[in-house]
Amino acid sequence: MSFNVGDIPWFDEYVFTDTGEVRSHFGLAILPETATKFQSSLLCCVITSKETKSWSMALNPSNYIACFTKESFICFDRKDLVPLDGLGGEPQPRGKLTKKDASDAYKILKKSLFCIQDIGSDIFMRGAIIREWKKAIRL
Amino acid sequence: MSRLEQLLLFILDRAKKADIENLSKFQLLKIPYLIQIESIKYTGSPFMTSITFMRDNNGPISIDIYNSINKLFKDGYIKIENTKTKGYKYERTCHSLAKKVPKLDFSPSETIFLDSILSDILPLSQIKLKKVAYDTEPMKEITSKEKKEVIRKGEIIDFSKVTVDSDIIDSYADAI
Repeated sequence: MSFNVGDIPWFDEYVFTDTGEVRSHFGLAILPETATKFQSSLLCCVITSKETKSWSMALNPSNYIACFTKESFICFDRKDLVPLDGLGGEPQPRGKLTKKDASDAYKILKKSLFCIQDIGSDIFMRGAIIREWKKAIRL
Repeated sequence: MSRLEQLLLFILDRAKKADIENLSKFQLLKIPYLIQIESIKYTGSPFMTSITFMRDNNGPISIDIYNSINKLFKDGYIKIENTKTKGYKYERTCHSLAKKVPKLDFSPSETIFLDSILSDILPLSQIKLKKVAYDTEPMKEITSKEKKEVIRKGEIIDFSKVTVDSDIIDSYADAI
């Protein structure tokens, strides 16, 4: 099991980096595991069923039948280094963004890196994220 | 310990964790060069501020790296062994860790940035690594000026030729 940009893993315990709060959630991997494995974590944006007004992107459940039964939202206004030991059981990842959604997601994600103050706004983290997404969606 | 010495130890540590027994001098010269390029491209700043690379027969080299390797060897951090490959006239100088790497000063985000780059370039063969180094903007600039067979050996590599990634620039502009 190895995670790439755009993968959707399920976490039994998704730990929010800033608050330490733990919930069960899907996440969107925004860096490949190869970049974060030595931190024993995966850099993710949380995916919830609750719509947020800004910095979010809706995912149509018909494209992600292994993951969602209703419309779900990637929240780009926060990024978390989620410990890998909180991952749910196999199969993992449970889904992967479609090519079109990955392209749309990248547009919101890259803006968020410059507008939202979180772990993604650090210049090295931002550089790594942009570098990996451009490779993944072949820009 | 200097930032460059720490970077060399970091690279050797990651190689070891990827089951790569040792790295050649060629690899230890080209990998930091490519890290410097990627850093300018994706952060807008060099990863190391006080390092000079120059053109040599097989691409970029750095006296700073030679000096740092010698220092790490003298301080007992790395082992250096020469091996001979059958059918190849030159010896390979193999570098590997001699002891546990001390705590390095890189931030978690710097570590992640380095791991993102190293996961791409550590598995490359020396031929591919050389090709990647020659495909960089500063090397293209130098080779474009070289006439047939005349290598501009010793010419300082000009990192100002590296273009910052367009998405980094666009996003900065959007955020202002």
